[in-house]
Amino acid sequence: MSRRDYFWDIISAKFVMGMLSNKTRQRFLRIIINDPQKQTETRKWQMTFTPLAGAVKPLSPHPRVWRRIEKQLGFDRAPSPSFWQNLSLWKGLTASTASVALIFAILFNTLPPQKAIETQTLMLVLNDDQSRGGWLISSSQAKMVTVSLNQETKTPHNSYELWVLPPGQAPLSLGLLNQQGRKELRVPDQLSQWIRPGATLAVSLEPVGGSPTGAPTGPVLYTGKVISI
Amino acid sequence: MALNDNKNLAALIKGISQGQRNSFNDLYSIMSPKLFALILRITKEESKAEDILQEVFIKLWQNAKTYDPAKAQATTWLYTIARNRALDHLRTDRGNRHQSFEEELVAGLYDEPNPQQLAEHALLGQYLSRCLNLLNENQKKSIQFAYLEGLTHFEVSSKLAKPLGTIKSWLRRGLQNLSTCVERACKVPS
Repeated sequence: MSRRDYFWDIISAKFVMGMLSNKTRQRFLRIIINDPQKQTETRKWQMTFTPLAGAVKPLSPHPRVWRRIEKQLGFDRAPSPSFWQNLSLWKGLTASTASVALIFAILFNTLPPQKAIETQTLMLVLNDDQSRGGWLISSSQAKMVTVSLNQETKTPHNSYELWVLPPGQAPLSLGLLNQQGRKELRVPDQLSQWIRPGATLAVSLEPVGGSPTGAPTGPVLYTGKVISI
Repeated sequence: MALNDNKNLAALIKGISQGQRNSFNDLYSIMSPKLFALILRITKEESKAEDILQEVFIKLWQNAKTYDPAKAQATTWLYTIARNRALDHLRTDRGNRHQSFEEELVAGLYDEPNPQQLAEHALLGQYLSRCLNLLNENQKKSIQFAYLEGLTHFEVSSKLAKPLGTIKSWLRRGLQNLSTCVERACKVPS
């Protein structure tokens, strides 16, 4: 091993051990970012040291830690995340057309006196697993109006993303919902075919700005079925 | 950690990336005592260790999709996140911010282009304890204090009541010997 390789080997080890100063660490990172060989050498030390970490005698944390995690992630009020895989559960999630229409009329006060025959107005309430309403949504043509019903849904560190679940397909994003108040969403042409009576919509909790992958990444918090009024 | 354990952990992390809460519960049950012990060893303060463990699992839930089992062993990934988070808090308390896991991710430290290299690196870990035991006691203690407790050169020097230069020398020689030993051990069938 050359003197230069030896030096780099020691620096890599100290990087993994967390012993470099902040300035040196930054310089180290700048060097290896475009150097696959040096990345490999550094990973060698990561894997070398892993058993040392694993040899520490395990110690169970207090149960309050798990409770705090559940609360922070909204699990204490969220349905099982297996929802995405178990669409049959959603068949039970129906709402009374009459009561929902009444809420719709009161909140929006936008029901036309007489609907045009060719224009169908659709709506739904997205409920959580306790049947508490989270958002009220109406859709007409390509426009969707969403109104937040629940002040408790506010969370500054996450976004709520609305999805439609076409039968047999992966969820498709309709956009982010406002945590408070009203918001209009435009339904993309390619998605409008799925917004129809009986369709299932859902809201998942995502990182701020929405799912980075295009698919739901967080827990499903609210679901509902589209009805025609 | 056996290969199968890593495969099981990798499957749980994949489940978490798909929003499966059961996987998250299982991973917490399996790994929280190990990660908590490691974090506590670094922070030395139970309430802080609890806060960090909470942060680690929130991060796991939110970023599980960044884990690729073809690129790093699950245990390496989990211990790295926990240890870096604990060191981050330690350095922040000392007024010297530690780098984060995200920075290492950006720097490509979790890109593993070659499965053969991954297998070779797994061997490195297997030989660690054997090679550590070949170091002299001073070198071994210096490395363990630095890695497992997140101590700086200066802190190791205080802990072992030896001059800073001596500690730096022990660490350097210890790491060099460790590197040579592990490399050699990997080339010789056990």
